[in-house]
Amino acid sequence: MKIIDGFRLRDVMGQATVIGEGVNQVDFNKLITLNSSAAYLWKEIEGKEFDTGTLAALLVAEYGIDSSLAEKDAAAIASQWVEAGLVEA
Amino acid sequence: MQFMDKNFMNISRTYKVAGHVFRIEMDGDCGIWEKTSEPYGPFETEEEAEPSLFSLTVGEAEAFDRSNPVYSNLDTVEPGFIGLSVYRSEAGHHFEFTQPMSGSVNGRLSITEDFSRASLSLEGSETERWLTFNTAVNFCFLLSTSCRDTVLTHASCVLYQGKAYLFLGKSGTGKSTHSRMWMRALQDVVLMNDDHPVVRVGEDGKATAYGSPWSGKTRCYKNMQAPVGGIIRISRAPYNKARRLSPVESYASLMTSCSGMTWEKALADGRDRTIQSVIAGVPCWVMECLPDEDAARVCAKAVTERQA
Repeated sequence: MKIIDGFRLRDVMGQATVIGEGVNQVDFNKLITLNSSAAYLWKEIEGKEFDTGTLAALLVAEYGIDSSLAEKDAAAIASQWVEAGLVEA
Repeated sequence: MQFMDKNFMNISRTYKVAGHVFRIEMDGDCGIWEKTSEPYGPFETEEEAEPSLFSLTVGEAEAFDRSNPVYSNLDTVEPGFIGLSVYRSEAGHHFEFTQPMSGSVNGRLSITEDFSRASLSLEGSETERWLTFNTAVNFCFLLSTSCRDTVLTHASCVLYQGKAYLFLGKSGTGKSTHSRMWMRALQDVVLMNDDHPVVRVGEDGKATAYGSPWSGKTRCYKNMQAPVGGIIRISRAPYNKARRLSPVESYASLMTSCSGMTWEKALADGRDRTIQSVIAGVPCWVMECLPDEDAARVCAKAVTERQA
């Protein structure tokens, strides 16, 4: 998976927010706010190829949670991002 | 021979919009000058100094490198609107404008990387050339102010009790109608601009709204300014109700109504900075409303009470 070109993570009044600013997002008329763990993952995988395993490993490394919980969370967030049109498979 | 140069009769005029100075140079006989007098005339200034923003020369534009197309709306542009193709080269930014009637390119605009110098060539009937000229000047302004604490908004803007109120919304939502309802229902309301008012954040961090030469279908080209009292998104509803927006909602609301070539990161960063500065000091609202005078009263009460 990969973040679709043109989406940028910005700090909007203290809130991590993804904004579509690319040529292909001219008609992407919404903002998506991220909680702190999602923002952490976003920054880590920006510009890179990743899969749910990558996300799970990042969660384990940052929060020290066990890997089965991390995999569940990673799969959930990846599918949310795909659904929101931020990430392409 | 030098005096036979075809630009010999060029004249230039200098304008100041939202405190930013730009200059336009073109043939003194060009019919476009006459058309500029109503919208641009109020913004003309006698300042002799070099323009702080840009100089635009209308004439023969230099051919530009079209090998790197960046953006085009030719597939999606609504009927009746000018089509646009954007190219990028080492020399800067290049635009081709396509006429809605003929579907042919009738304007080519090039702007240097630092946005300080622009050249424009025009073809077609006088009306077509004027429309493209006006769009090109608007673009030059938008681009050259992107990183100068300034946003060109898409809004209708009124002055009321010494403050400017901007009404945002998609085309056809009733921004202009809402302005008119304020003028009918309330005392001493002045329409500042009906399409593209400019908002600029000063060194003191305060946001000021300015009239501009771009006012859509309404001929309202007022050279006036006022501190921004509120930014209100108009949303159609079967009732009248004002709701204060959260910071992220405020950002989303204003961002949606500020044009910009945000695929250029520097310009996106500039717009982001300006929008955050504006919403840090200006209350933003959504006004769910009918197109009636009561909507104006409900809205004005909410947005002025907050500041009292």
